[in-house]
Amino acid sequence: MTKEERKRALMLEKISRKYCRTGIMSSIVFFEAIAVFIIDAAMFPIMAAEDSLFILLPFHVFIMGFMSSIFMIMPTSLIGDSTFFSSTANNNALRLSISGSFTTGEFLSTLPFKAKDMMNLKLINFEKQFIVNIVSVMIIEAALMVSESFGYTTLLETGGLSVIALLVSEIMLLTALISQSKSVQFVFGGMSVLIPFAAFLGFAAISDGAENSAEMAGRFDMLEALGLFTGVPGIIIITVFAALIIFAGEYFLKNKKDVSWNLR
Amino acid sequence: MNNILNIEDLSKNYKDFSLDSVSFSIEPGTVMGLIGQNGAGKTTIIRLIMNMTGRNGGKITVCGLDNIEDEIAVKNKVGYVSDECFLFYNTTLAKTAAACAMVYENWDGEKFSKLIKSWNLPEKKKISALSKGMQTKAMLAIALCHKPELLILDEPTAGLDPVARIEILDILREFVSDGERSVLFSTHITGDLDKIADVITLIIDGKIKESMSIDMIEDKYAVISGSNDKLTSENEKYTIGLRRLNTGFEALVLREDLPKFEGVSVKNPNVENLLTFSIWQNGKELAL
Repeated sequence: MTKEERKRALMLEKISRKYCRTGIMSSIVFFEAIAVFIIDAAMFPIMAAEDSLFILLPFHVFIMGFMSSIFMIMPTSLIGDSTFFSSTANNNALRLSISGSFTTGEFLSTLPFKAKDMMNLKLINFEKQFIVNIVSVMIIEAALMVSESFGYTTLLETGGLSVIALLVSEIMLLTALISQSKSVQFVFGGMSVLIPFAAFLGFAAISDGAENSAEMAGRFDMLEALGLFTGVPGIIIITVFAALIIFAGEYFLKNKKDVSWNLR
Repeated sequence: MNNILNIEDLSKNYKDFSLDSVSFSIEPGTVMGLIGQNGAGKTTIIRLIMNMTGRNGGKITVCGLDNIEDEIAVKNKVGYVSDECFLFYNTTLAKTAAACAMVYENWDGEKFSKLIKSWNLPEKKKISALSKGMQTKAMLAIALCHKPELLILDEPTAGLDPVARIEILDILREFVSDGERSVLFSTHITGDLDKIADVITLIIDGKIKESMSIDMIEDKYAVISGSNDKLTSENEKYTIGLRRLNTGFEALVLREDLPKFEGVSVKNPNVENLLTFSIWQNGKELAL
């Protein structure tokens, strides 16, 4: 993407967000997330006193929830916006169903923007999400190292789980970016945060159970395997993966010639 | 003289509908009426001009610029008004104009203020709270204030009261009066075209059937009517469109074929006749 293309795509974002109620909605989510974080930070001493990953899960989830809310919701809503603009099957039906909240697509398509600017905007939003993912992993890993220094050793595995969750998130985003199917774009783009959460919870629950059985039977310990995704290696894995996905997105857009707004 | 709009061999394929090699052009200072029944492809052509949907073949140029390669320049030269309001429902006209001012190269804020004042459009009221006529005028104000060379209107007068319709037609007349700008006007209300159009383009089932000056309609065609015994198997094949009733028939024919019909009444056709008889070209009897 050239500098000029990026500039136009960002202008498109500015105009669309300025008049789109999604911006207000994501701000509400942002403040809700802060409130949740404050409540759960207060629960930290109680939770951390237990030496069990499964019991500590709510806390981990709230760390994730906090990170996700602050760093992910905004770019995710942007992806939602651009997905709405470019993949709404019937603009008018959507407008009627949600009272015109999101449907700026047709108006934007009449303004002097290139249709490709919309694809570029989508790529920029995906890039933002990837950067946020990397930052989230770094903060989680740093928080875990600090926690470890206080003696809460079981928290370490959470770093590996969060890296895996974000890898799932990025695979879903890549699928949404490259897919030609409007429904795939919409579902994968929209669920790219929720599904990794579910994967995170599920994996953590399985690991907790596996940890006990592995200890008893002397078999493979799933939590130990998570070490690969923990700390600095986790940060490197997620960074390399994000770079590959951004490269794939750029390559895809450069080679996509006949781009139209495709609102109906 | 360079045409404002040139469409060559335009095609677009959907599952159950295709635009088939559509070609026409609009000269400067002209109002072209695009007519056809529902689903004939009028809106598809307009959306293809605006690059709101991808085409399967052909070429579209506006003022000599390709509508895809030079999309930004083309959209600076085109004003678009849709049948339904596409502006942001939850915001005001003033804010929408502010958005337009950011992107249009030739946005004329002063003209916009004058227009909305003279059309009594409330600047601070939400778009969703405006009446249908006001919404159309709001779209038209935005379309006019970035100094377009081509206005594209997709059923703009549908659902408007007669006063609002006449006001919009006056605006269009004024728009083309300098002889340098043009209008592409898609509508079902053929009476509007009788008042304002210079050229009529008729599209049936995705194909252009006719594209001609409105004056030529009367020169080329005639509407005949008479009792059913005046219509024989011999002369019926000369009808372009035929409508049979219990009391008689009505048909569109070429003026040169008038001698084939004896004892019938002849009148000049209007745009509505051209449209309806082209649809009734199979001579189907009306189910009464």
